[in-house]
Amino acid sequence: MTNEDAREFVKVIRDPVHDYVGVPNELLPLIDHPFVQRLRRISQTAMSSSVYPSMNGRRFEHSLGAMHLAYQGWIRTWSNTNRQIRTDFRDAVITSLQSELDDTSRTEESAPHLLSEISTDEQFARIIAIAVGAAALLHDVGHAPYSHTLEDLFKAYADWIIADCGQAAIANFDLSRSASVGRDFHEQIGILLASRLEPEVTSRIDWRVVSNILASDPATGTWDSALHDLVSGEVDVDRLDYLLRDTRNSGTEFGAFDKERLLQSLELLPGAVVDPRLETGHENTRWVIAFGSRATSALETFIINRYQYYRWVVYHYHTVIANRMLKHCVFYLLQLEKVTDQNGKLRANPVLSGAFLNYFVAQGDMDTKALNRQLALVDDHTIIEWIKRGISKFAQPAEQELDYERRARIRFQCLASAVLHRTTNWVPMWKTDEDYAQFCYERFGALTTVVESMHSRCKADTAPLRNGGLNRISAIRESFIHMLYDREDVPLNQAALPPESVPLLNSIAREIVGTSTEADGGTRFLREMNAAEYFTRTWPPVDGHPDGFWIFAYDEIKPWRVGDEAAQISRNKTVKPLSEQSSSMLVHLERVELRRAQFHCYFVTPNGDAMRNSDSVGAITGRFRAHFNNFVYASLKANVED
Amino acid sequence: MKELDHGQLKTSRQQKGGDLSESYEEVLDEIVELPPYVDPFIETEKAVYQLVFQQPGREYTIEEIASVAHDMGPVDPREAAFSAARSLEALGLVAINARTLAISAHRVETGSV
Repeated sequence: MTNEDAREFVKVIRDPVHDYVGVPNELLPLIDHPFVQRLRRISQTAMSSSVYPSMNGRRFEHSLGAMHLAYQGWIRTWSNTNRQIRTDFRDAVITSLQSELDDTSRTEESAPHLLSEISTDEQFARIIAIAVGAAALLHDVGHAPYSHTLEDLFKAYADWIIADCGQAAIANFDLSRSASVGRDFHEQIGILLASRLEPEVTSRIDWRVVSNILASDPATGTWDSALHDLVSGEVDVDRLDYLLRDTRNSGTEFGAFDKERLLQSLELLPGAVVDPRLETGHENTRWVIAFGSRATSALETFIINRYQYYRWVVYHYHTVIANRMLKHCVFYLLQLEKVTDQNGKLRANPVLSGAFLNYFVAQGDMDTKALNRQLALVDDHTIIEWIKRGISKFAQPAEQELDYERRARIRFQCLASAVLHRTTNWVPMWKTDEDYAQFCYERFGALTTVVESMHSRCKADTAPLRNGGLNRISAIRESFIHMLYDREDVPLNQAALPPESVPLLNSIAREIVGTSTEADGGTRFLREMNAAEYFTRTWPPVDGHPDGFWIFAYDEIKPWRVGDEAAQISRNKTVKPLSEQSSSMLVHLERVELRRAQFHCYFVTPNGDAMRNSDSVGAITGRFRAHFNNFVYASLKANVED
Repeated sequence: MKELDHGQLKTSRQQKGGDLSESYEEVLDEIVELPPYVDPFIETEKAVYQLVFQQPGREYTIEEIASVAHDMGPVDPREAAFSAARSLEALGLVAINARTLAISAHRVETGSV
């Protein structure tokens, strides 16, 4: 490190990815805060270590890495930006913050922002660098135990978790939840926790800038959105760090891109659209932090590596089931604890309090500092200890056990065994994309017949009620299947090679169990579970596995984004999305994705020993294959009928 | 066509003399009717579209569309309804205002499908 860098940072932390992470004085108290320290006990990639044993990274080191890259990224951005643009940006930030302070609709007492005190570009750049670093450090503090894997359940059962917090706290939380429908739960909670730790951190951090960055919507062109995109956008410090770190931990080669080149090329640029929040009636600036065109190849490599990482590591068939099993395990444990009913819905007045899972809404009369430390106690261990207790607590049937309780008990024990002991009591219907392609190929004729049948139904339904709404949905949904299919130039009811038949089943699976995004409060999980339960109920059971059940999983990768949401490239001071400038190599990823196994089906059984018998596996696989078409028919029929 | 993997069931055509392993016949073109399948997500999608289709162009709030969501167990009706709206958006039926999250149905030509 240079002497200048040494003066800039009060602490230097060794890191296997970035070698050294410098910590600015202002951010040190933030790192030491229990909310950030809690991330040492929140796994980065949940159950991926079932497949990649060294993949035991924690959110803490990732957050440090993101902070380092955000700070460095902003410093490079500022140094690559010309004086006029710097002045305009600075004015935009200060004007915006001032207008928030002047807003008469604000009822709380507003603290002045540090930016109102500064006079030079250097001071401004430093305050923003600290704020961007703080936002990056805090971008994951809202994560639930086991990160994304249990996020849906925490969101769905938040009412139970915070039930003891008092009406005012609950009402406040519900208000913030309304405003964040469709957003990731950890982002929503991150904003809440950041505001809770603010009073404890007395160093010179401009919290207005930090909270604006955390709360802003991505890719909208406001100044805080531009900074948000640097922290958490299409190509951002979050992704740069996790791709480098997680691939390294997994032992794969996918983190081989030129991060330095990317950071060195960053520029702040204005576009020309209206910032709707200022409402001045004049044209305002659309702010973008873009990559210089010299980094185009590094960007392409990054996007390809990210796709590879998702394809081979995150959506490895074993990783997928390991994470789904943890989620199902907690789902059934909640039923056994009589917190939820047989549909997974919260019961009125459950005996067990959810307070032991509360890491986001404070309760009690303690001061803020003590309350924050209490919230920071909830981590991965909380979940594991709860599951361990559940194993002995629900080892035996309860008196007068109901059918669904028996089912929940057997399934919980079976899933807990897989989670804790990695018991191989499950079998996938396919492992590789090739296996899946073969399966699709064998069913191609039958599935196209099903699609044609649905098409006929839609036509018949739609004829008398052309403008009736429901039937229009049926018709368009059915055409969606055709649309995906036609895009591949494979006409229905004609022979197709194995890879070409894959998009059809992928699109059918999306119709049956998928949703447009995973950030849907558990909707996709419930759809997967609902469909798998129906399959379990209707398929002919296999000898030796009377209590076996199915788990379905649908996961789609969006290889890269296009338009405003894409990474932006600057060429001769003009900003254009990478999607308009890059080679067809990245477009090819979309075709690869269409042929990837987006759908997975697993059979899980309490009788794991019998699973080792290849005849047993053969019977399960055979029955699955024989039953699958009937299942698809029944599921799609539900879509097109009233 | 690829040979079946070891351990998979064989069709009777693939069984050789003396092979007593369990066999199955793949019925690829014949569909057996199963009990009706009910998917609350699809029902929600239909209900949301029914609602917003009544006044194409009018913006409906999350709370309004959540009021017609079907029971999805633990999922907040607002999340279920919004997820359904996103699905309808992907089908080209509705528009979602990115800032306010309000949903509106596209105007459609009478008679078009």
